[in-house]
Amino acid sequence: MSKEKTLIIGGGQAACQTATSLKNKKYDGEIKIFCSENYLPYQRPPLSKKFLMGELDKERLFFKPEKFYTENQIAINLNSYVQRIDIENKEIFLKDNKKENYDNLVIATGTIPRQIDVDKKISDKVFYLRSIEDVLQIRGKIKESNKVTIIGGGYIGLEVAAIINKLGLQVTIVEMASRILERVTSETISSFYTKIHKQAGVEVLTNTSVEGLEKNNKGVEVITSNGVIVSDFVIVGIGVLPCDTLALESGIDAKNGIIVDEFCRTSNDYIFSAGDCTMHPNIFYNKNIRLESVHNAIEQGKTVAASIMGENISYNQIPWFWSDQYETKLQIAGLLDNYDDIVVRGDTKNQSFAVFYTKENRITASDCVNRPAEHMMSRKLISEKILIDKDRLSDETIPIKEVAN
Amino acid sequence: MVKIIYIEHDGTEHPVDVDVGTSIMEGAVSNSIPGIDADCGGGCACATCMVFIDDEWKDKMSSMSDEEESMLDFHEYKEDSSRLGCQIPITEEFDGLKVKMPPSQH
Ligand SMILES: Cc1cc2nc3c(=O)[nH]c(=O)nc-3n(C[C@H](O)[C@H](O)[C@H](O)COP(=O)(O)OP(=O)(O)OC[C@H]3O[C@@H](n4cnc5c(N)ncnc54)[C@H](O)[C@@H]3O)c2cc1C
Ligand code: FES
Repeated sequence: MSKEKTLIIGGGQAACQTATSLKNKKYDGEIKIFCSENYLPYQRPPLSKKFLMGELDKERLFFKPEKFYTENQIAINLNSYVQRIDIENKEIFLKDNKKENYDNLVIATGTIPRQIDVDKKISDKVFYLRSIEDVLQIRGKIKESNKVTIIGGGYIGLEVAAIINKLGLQVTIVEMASRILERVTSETISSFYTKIHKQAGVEVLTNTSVEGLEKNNKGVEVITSNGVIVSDFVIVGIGVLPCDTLALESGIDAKNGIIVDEFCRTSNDYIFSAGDCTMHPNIFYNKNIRLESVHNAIEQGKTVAASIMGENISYNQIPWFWSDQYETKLQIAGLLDNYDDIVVRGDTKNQSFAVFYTKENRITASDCVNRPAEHMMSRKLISEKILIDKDRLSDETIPIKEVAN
Repeated sequence: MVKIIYIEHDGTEHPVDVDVGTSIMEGAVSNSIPGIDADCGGGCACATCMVFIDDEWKDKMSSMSDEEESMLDFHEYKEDSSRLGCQIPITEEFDGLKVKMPPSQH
């Protein structure tokens, strides 16, 4: 009898974790990864941090060296875009009509940056930041430029702004909403980051929408609702879209992400999904969500491996994430969905404080700036749904480990 | 290159050659040694790269930042000899270093 075969579409964090976890669990079937990129699976967070800065070699981004895959008999097919899935016959199709059959299929296709309309004439001056290739191009461009405009004041845009500012360029951030990070955090955190960017010399324009991009003899004219900004080039960071079209067109349920249950199973019995591309249930917040985070990609990768092995281990995780800008490390726990109060521990005038979001005297989320202990503690308090005394929480004379005592 | 011996919790030893300048965490990950997860890839944000280092070696290493200390404090298996592997760059002096790993990182 031939061996069972698991195919993985995508070669990012979730794909690599699924394959590694299957191996750790002594899966004895065949494992094949198909990825459209031309690099071994690699971590993306440094792309907008140390790798953009030029402090990290490309090789140090790879999760595993090539020999890991060969030694573990995980077949990695790079530059292999999967075009179609035939769920009836359990086959995937690559270019040139090459096909491959499966017993289990894992879709870990991640996301792609949301695009803006640009004229071909200036497309060589407009960049997105998702891949090693993107960063290599941006790094080349930085060397020959003085001024850059970043469209979008989300975490990636802000991290990029901080690095490019450090590299000596003049940076302008253009944000449509009334404050940066509006979609993801509170006013308190937004104003803290606005302040540190401005102090570093970055121009932050809020309530400003981009109406068009025009070629100019120096570079690009960014036409906004508040006037024209001339820059050498533009980086766009206005969010991402889940890569769920392949699934949808193949008859798998998807709506703003591939729909999975707590075991990362899709609507098809033989197909699983993990990482940024999934729309999945979160039991702590009692709703379906899509997350763009390393932690989620890792945990869902592990969940898929468990499901393939026939172990019923459900995914139940408190989301967490981090962002590095200048000398600050922001660590985020939980989901900022609905809270009735905010408790600040420390002083937001210093670069070290924690903001806890509470509902009915329980912490539901936190943003901790250079406060790792508060971050770790809040993950525990959120998951155990512990009742807290807000005065104790904000009282710095009580060690964070003891606030809930 | 220096030789580092990574020791799993059950005593299994993995002697490997690692590049000077990379971290103790990277030395384990690039040699596929089980026992270090390194979820955040070296960002000092996850505390899943904890290792135990004997006293005799501690002095040869970069000292611990407050950040590292706080993260370690929440690790289930933390001991006095704990460090985060991603926060220790490997130097020539580490030849022969023994790095022990906890039963689990979570
Ligand atoms: C610049 C940047 C900074 C970030 N910083 C942080 C951070 O600080 N902390 C944090 O927690 N998270 C961060 N993230 C998010 C984190 O990197 C992602 O959540 C994580 O990479 C998701 O992994 P994934 O495997 O789901 O998707 P991806 O890593 O996107 O991998 C998907 C892969 O699938 C491939 N693919 C897609 N479609 C097909 C197809 N049809 N056929 C074959 N291959 C296909 C893609 O090319 C890609 O290689 C950052 C992301 C970026 C871009
Ligand atoms: S790898 Fe995350 S803290 Fe070391």
